[in-house]
Amino acid sequence: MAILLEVRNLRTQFLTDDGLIKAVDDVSYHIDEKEIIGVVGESGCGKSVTQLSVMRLITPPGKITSGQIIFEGDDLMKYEANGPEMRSIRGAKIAMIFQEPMTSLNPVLTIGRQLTETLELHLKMGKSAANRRAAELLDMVGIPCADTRLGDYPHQFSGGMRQRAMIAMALSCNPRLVIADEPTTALDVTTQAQLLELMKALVEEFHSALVIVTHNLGVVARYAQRIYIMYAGRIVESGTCKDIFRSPRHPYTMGLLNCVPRIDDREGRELEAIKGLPPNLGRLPGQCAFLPRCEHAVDRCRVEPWPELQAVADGHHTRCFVNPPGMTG
Amino acid sequence: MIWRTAEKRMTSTVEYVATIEEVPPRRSEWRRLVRVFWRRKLAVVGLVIVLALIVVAIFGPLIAPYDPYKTNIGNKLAPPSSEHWFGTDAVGRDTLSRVVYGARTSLVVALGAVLLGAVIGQLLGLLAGFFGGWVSHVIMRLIDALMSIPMIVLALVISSVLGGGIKNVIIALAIGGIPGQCRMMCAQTMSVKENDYVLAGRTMGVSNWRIMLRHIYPNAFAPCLVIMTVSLGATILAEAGLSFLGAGINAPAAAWGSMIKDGYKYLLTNPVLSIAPGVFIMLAVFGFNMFGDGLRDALDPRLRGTL
Amino acid sequence: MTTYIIRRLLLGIVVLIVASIFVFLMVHVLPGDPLWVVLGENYINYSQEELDELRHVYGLDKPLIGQYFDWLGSLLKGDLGESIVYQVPVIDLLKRRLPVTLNLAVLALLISTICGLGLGVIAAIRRGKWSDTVVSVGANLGITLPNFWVGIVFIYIFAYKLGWLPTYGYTSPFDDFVTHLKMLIGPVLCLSVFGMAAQTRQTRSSMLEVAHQDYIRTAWSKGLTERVIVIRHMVKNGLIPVVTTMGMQVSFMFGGAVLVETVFNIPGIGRMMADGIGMRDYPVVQGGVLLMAVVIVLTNLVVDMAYAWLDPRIRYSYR
Repeated sequence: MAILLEVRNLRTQFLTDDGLIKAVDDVSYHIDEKEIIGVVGESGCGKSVTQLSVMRLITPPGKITSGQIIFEGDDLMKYEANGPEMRSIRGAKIAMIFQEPMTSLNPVLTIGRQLTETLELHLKMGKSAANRRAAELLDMVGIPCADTRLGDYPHQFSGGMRQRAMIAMALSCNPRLVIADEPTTALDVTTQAQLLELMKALVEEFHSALVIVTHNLGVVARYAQRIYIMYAGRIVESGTCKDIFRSPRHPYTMGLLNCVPRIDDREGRELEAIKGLPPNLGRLPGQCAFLPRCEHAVDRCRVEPWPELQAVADGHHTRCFVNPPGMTG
Repeated sequence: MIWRTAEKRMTSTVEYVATIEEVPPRRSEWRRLVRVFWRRKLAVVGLVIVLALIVVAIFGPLIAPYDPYKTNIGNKLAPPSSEHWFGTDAVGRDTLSRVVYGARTSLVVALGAVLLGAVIGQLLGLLAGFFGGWVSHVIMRLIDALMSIPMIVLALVISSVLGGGIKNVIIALAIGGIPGQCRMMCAQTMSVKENDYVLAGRTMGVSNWRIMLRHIYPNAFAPCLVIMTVSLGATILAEAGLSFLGAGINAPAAAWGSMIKDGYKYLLTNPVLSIAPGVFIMLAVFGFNMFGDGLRDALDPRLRGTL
Repeated sequence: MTTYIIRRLLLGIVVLIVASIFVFLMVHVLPGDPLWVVLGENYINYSQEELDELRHVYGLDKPLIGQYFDWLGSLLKGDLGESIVYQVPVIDLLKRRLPVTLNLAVLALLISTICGLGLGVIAAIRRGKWSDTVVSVGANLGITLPNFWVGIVFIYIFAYKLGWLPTYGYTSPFDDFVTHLKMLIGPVLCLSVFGMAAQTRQTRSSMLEVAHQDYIRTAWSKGLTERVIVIRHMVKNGLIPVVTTMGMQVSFMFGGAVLVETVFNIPGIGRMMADGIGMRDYPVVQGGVLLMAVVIVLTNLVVDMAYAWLDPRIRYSYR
């Protein structure tokens, strides 16, 4: 399948009061057309910043310092951040769904207005056509009485409904790529599952590709074809869903898997949290950033710099010297 | 440019740091405050002006070239000269010396009024926020009513009823400062009292007063402090206004506002008499405002939109 | 929505009643005989019996609370007492002088609000550029200027040195419109400086605050232009705190009018208050304070309605 988006050696940094934060450090990944991938990591590992970088939505004090973002053959880094080229891609070809449905919708504009503005902008629809389409979209994401609810304001919607509206907004212009940044984190468990099913069904119907960004490996297990695991601004492991779940090779991935309750687990394994806290991105050591929390560390980890991603199997890469065999492998 | 220097700074610090111990130590909080404040150049300028003002106020007698109360009819309304930089007033007093002494008046009145207003306002706010219900209703309607009268008019009326002079001007201006302090303290108290440690204290039967003063007040104080700093400037302006109208501090005492009033009669011939004190009012107010803004950014950046 | 307005209206009435108690007490906490307020300097010419009789006539021998209700009753009938100095009903004085102050204040309010909003939005959009620096520095200086001093400097430069404008005074627009305008420039400018600067600062910081909200990031992610984002998504949200400042402006304007009208010798409410306090003409002062309180409470009502218009969360929570 053709590659839709390829990110090469992306670095995004923030200059804050606490020093320079390397939020995304030399990250490369790709997504094919109609593919669903997962980007997984703890909060503050740079997964959201990576996605915002792709949309060129990084604002000062943040800055993309290097890298290429190749979308449909064009390097988006060539374009001005808010220039006409980027604007014609945002919302039209790449759409984004944000984490907080409470704060990501404008409180003083009606849901209808927030839906129609992209339709009018990118699809050049007239007011009434846009309204009709907006009602169809709301209906499609499962909001009852869609045409009467167009005039509602976000605060009149529940959290789940707002996120449905966000999904409708994202899909309104039939984008090639949908980026969902922690789309279900703020919602309760049953709503989460419904929304993920809905997103999967809709991207299939619209022939779009989907990036699901989450801190919960369990969320992507059912949907993603491939998974990237991020830690401290870098990708530490990548592979197919099966690779990651069946034979994880990075101690961090194993740690994440230990946090996920599994129905197929017959051995009665105990759920285990990863000890310690994620590192301060402003003061990263030259060594593996996971070292202080790692249970498999060897002397080599302490002297040598963090290794590059290495292939352990076809399409399965990890960034670790120890490369311990998988738990269930 | 800032970007580049920061990058350079970063490259030299690649060393192994035990990242588990990265939880920021408490001591560094104070350093962060200083760093954020220091980075705001205007705030530093404000601090310098405020410090200079305090020095002038304290050491006024040593700085002032002449006795500010000594009249000299023979040398009245003298134009600026090397002996009298800002000339002399209608009874021959040295304007520069009076400006120097005026700094003391302004500062004493502003500090006194703001502190007094803060004590009353914060107490009311604490009570209103803590008890809610009818207590809060009564207090807040009183505050609303105070706010329905322009601060300067309120101060004017009170100081005229009480009869002028430094003490009464302080009281008059303090009353004008109550609403701001009260509202902020009330809002803060309402949010702080929802915290677990307050609930815990209540379930353990700690007395209301103890909870309010030991647990809520210290945690609600920072934004009030910011308002206090900013209102120092506003109070200096208001005092000048009162004195200009003759309802504040009058000659022979030296106050910038009344100097402007007295100089106004000689505007055509001796403009410096009323213009010079105004420049010092501006400087002082600017100093306190910028210092307050810096303090706000350092203590609680969330306040930026609201103050 | 209607519930919301009614609640605000009732609250406003309560606030006015409390304010009227303040104003009433203002005279009664005065050291000495309240009759002094009615009689002024003539007080000493009356004998003790005459004073007692007058006290009865004015109801001053009743308990304080009864006196308050008597006073409130006559207030509601439009009787604010009589000026000691001018010997005319206070209500007539207010009627004559309010239009002059309103003329000044409304113009100043318009100028400071329009310029303040515009400059604040520009500074926020051009954050960090030189235009932002100029506007911010100007606004920060503007809030430090004593308005009465600006008036004096203005008179010195434009009336004395350049001779372009009349020094002070006031001419009704119906008598001589051009002179009216010329005389208005100085006072209106002085009155608007502080408000304009405060409005600019408030607008700039609230626009910057809004610019960091999640929904603005959403708007950018839709591919909207900066213009549309500012106009459609930011301004309405950013206006909410700005409206508060606008409400307070009216209070500033009245306070400022006391000083500016004194400097420019303009026969408005402010000058009336300053004179009234200077000459201890307390019925006039009471009338002036009450009038200001009424206008300010009404303004706050308008501000509350503006909130409801701007913020659907308020509009719908009281339905």
